[in-house]
This record gives sequence, C-alpha cells and structure tokens, in this order.
Amino acid sequence: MSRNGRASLALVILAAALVLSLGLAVSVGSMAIPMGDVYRVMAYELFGLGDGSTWGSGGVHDVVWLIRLPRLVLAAATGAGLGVCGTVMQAMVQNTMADPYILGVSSGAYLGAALALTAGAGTALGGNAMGLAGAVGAFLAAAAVLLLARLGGRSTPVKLLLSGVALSAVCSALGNFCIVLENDDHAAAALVQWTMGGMGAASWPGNAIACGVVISGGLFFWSQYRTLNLMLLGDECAGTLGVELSAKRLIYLLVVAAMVGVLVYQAGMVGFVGLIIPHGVRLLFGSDHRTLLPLAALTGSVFLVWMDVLCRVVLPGNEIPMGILTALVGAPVFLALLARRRYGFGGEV
Amino acid sequence: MNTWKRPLSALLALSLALTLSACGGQTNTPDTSGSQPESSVSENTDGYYPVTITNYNYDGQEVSYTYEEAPQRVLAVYQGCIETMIALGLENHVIASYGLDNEVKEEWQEGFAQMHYDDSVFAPDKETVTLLEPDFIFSWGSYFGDKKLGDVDAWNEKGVGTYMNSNTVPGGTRTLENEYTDILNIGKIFHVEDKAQALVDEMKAQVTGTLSAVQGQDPVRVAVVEPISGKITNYGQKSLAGDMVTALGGELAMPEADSISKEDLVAADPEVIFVVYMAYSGDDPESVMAQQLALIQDDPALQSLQAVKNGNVHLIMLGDMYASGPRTLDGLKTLAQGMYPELSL
Repeated sequence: MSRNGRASLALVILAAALVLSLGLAVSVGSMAIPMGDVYRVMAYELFGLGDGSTWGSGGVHDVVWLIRLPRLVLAAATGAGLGVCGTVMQAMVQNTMADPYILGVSSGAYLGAALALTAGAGTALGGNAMGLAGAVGAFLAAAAVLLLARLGGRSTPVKLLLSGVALSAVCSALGNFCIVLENDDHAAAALVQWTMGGMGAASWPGNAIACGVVISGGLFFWSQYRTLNLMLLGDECAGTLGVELSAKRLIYLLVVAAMVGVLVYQAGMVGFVGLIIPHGVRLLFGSDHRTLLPLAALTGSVFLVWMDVLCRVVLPGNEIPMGILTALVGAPVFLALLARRRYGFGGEV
Repeated sequence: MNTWKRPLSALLALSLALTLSACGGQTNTPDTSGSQPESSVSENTDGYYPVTITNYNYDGQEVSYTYEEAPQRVLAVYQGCIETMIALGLENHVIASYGLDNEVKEEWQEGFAQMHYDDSVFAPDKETVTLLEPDFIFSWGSYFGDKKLGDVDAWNEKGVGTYMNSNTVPGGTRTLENEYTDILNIGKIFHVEDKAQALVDEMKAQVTGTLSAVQGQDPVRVAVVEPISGKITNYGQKSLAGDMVTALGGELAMPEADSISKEDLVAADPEVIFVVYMAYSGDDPESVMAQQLALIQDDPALQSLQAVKNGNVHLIMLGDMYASGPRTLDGLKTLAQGMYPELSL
C-alpha cells in the first residue's frame, strides 16, 4: 500500500478508535456502576432515549455525564491539541527536541500559577486561579519570545529557540522566587501537583471552549501543511521558492500559544505528549504535514483518554497526576518505536 | 590583564590564611556537645532544672536535649509555634518571631505585640538566625532542612535547643496526641507545666465531652477535602485532621486516599464534608472561604452527594487542623460542630 493510502487507513482506524475509547473508558472508574446503566445515561443525554427521571439525574447520572465523560473529552481535546502544537513547534524551530511548551510557554504558565498562588492574585480569579493565571502566563511568555526573537532583525528558528530557552529560565526562576518568598510547604506542594497536569477540573462549559479552540487551531494548521513542510527544509530553501517564513512563524506561535494557554487552564501541564506523539507518528507515517497533523491529533487524543483512565485506576481511590503516567507509559513505547526504525526527523526516512 | 592578577593573588592568599586560621580556631574550641548531662527528667532539690526533652532531628530520629534553665532567647517560626508561645504566656522569652499564615487570634493579640514579630521575610535565613544568637529555636520540621537552617544536631552541639512540631517531623506520624505532647513538652522546657496541662485538658475535654454526648450513635462518615485548581486533596487517616475526626467518634469516608477525583468523592458519599481553606497573605479570607465552599457545594457534578443535599458541607481552616498547636482546640470544635449539628457544643 502507498504511504498515502496507509495514512488514510490509519486516520479512519484512529478516528474509530477514539470514539470506541471514549465509549469504553467512560465505563471505568472508582464507583461501581453497571455497564448497562452507564450506557443508559449516555443514551438519554445524547439521544434523549429512555426514562429521564431515572437516567437524567442522580448520582449515577452525575458520575457518568458530569464527571467521567467531561474528563475524557477534555483528555481527548488536550491530547489532540498537544499533538498538533508539538508537531507545529518541531517544524517551526526545526528541532527534534521542541514540544508545545518549549518556547517559554510552560515556564510562563508556571510563573503565572506561582503568582496566583503566592502573591494573593488568586482570590479575584475564582476557583481555578492557578489555571487561569497559568494560561495568561503561557500566552504572555510566547508573545515575549516572539518579540525577543525579532529584536535586531528577522526571527530565525535558532533565535526563536534560544530566546525561548532564555525566557524559560527567567520565568521559572521568578516562579521559584515567588515560592521561596512565600516559603510555604503547602503552596509549594499545590504548585507541584498542578504542574503535573490532570483532568479533574473538566466541565462541559470549559470543554466547549477547549474543543472549540483545539478544533479551529487544528484546522488552521492543517490548512497550512504546505508551509509547515517547507519549514522543515529551512528558511533559505523556502526563500528560493518565494515563501517568507518569519512572518508565518509569528502567526503560528500566537496560535500555538492560544491553544496551549487554553489547555493549560483546563488541564494544567501534561508533559511529554507533545514531544513524543509527533515523533511517533512521523516514524510510522513520514513527515508530510497533510497526514502528520490529523494523525498526531488523533493519536494524542486516544493516548490521553487512556492515560486519564490509568490515572484513576492505578491506585484505587486515589488520583495520580497525569504527567507522571504520560512519561512512564509514553517513553518506553516511544523508545521501542525508535529502536525498530531508522528515523531522520525531516525528509524521507 | 596584569593589573588584575596581583589583587587576585592577594585575595587568594588572604582567603587561604583565613581558612587556615578558621581551622585552627575550630580545634581550640572546647567540645560543647559533651557538656550536656545525659539524664532524664530529673528534679534537683534546689530547683526544677535540668530537664531533658526528647524531640526529633530532620531525619525524623529522636534526639534528646537537656535544658539547664528556661531558654531566654527564643526564635519562633510559623503560626503554631508563635501561638503556642503566647498561649503559654511565654512571649517575654521570645527575641524574634516570623512566618504567620493567618492573623494571630484575637485573644492572643496582646501577647503577640511582645513577640518581636518581623514580617520583612517569611522565615529568616541561617545567617540572620546565627546573629540573633537564640538559645532555642521552635519551628516546623521543614525549617530544619539542609537548605534552610540546617540540622538540629548542629544547633544542639552549639548549645542551641531546638523543638520541631511533632506533626511536621519528616516521615513522622500525624496525630492529635502529638499536638498534646508538644504543648506539654514546651511547658516542661519553660517550667510552665500547669498552663500547658490546662491547654491540653481543655482539648481533651472537648473530645471526651463530644464522645459522651454522642454515645451509642453510629459513627458519622466524614471526609476532609481541599480542592485546589482542579485537584482534590483528601486528608485521610495519616493526617492530623483525619486523626481528629476519628478521635471525635467519626469514621473517615476515604481513610487511605491522598489525592482524589470528584468521582471518588461521589463513590464515598460522606455524610459530612469539611472543605479546607487557606487564606494566604493578601487574600481576602471571606472570599476565599466562599470560593472553597462553592467548589464542593455548587459543583453540578456533586449535587447527588448526601452532604451537599443535606447542607452538611462545612469549612475548616487549614491552620486549625494542620500542625495546629493551640488552635487544635478550634479545629476540634469546628469538626465536632459540623459532625454533630444537633449538639450545642
């Protein structure tokens, strides 16, 4: 089968896997609910089937419809968003180590959360103060990196990357400084928990925003697949083909920052996904962004849906931060893939 | 370049000389660690002291230290330690205090005025502490970490007594009994055992009073939880709050859990839920309280909880149930009132 044919088949399979995963994962949880009841609640809420007085309210309904499914949908959106953003970042800075958080975004989020926690900025922001301040921090950091990289001439991938690394250092240092000033074990512990990510805060109104941003951002980047392919070839090569990449990079980074910011608000920082999913998909299906982007989105979705299930079942009655599991489970799978194939990042493998 | 080299070498020589003299000085200093008599609590005929108290070091091991007299230059760091000193009427022994999370309670304000409280930093560094020349440091376990003040043994060898709140000892247990022990031990160190005993008796009376009032009743199933930005921390049987709930005749709905999901809470469906709040400096306590309560009370996903339906979701302040010192009494009261609303406690 041709590479394109293989990719299309994989797309169909992954899309089906996502729907199936959501359907299966919703039946798993700490509360013992019979499978039949789970699907009766789903049937009632999704299609209006069945008895509303039994399946439209009460504990079983709340757990299935207001707790489990929102978490899983948020996990899917987060996985898709990080998969896409990771792919784009790696192309943008032509660097294999790039992930959605690399250009100062994660440390910006960390600084925002630390400020919310320690500087008393939290009260005004409501229950998810760390998330909100984190999202704002992420966006501001990305914007600042762009500005820095454009000082004294066009922004190149190297300048972007180095500005990001430098700003990251500054932001994490300032975040840690807040914690040291506050000198409170309780605050420090809460911040550490937050930085490891999790889907516990999921709700339908929040999911509507997260899904909206991820889907529109994803479609935007999909429409840009030609430019992304060019980015892998480098600025000079693109220049000879009449495409100016530095302006594109600015727009892309802002879109990535908006997507990551919204996801940080909803789910904290889920590490590693945005790094390994793009590489994993590239290993298997090549680096043409026309297929790479949707495949990375779907793979990320399915992966995080099951990671959320694992978070809740590994220690019964306890929830593990998601970042721990994405690294623990993701890294071996990724290394196994890496060991079995030749991998050249850009161009043909 | 050459102009740089000469001062640099001079500096090197100087620092070398200083290092050597410092070494020399050390050998000349008499070993003070051996001078502390290793006796247990002994009451001499001519007086109360010396008294030996067993507490812990940063490794969580027991360490004994003998006091020849009541410490006169006390450094108190963190809420519970500051309030313990005031509640025992020992504020005139304190030369410096730091590290309040919340305001000192109304009844202790007068004593607090004499505590030499410094709000310029949350907790002082090693250098500041050394210059303060305290003869006693009273704080939480984490403060004796190697990145902060350094370990207890080193201070004790220098003749500085240390006491860490037993419920903050790294790797230690977290119990109500520990809070009692701490207050009684501080009472012994400063020879104010009666006051200490009175404080502890009041706490014990709260426990026994509650228990006898609810005798024969089925234990109430209780959860103490703290929602923070999408995560929920559960205070189980290994926490002080959990131990307080159990002591008051309650049963923990989730004894083993540390970090839970909303579903875990629905699955456990406690009869009474306490929501922990912590107003950091700069936060408005009233709005923090309202927000924390709303995170459980008003979450659409948690409306099936019996505690939510029956209006049994209550607030409890972190400082009243975490290394709480004399506030332990307030924590016990809050818990008892929430667990048994029919009692007028």
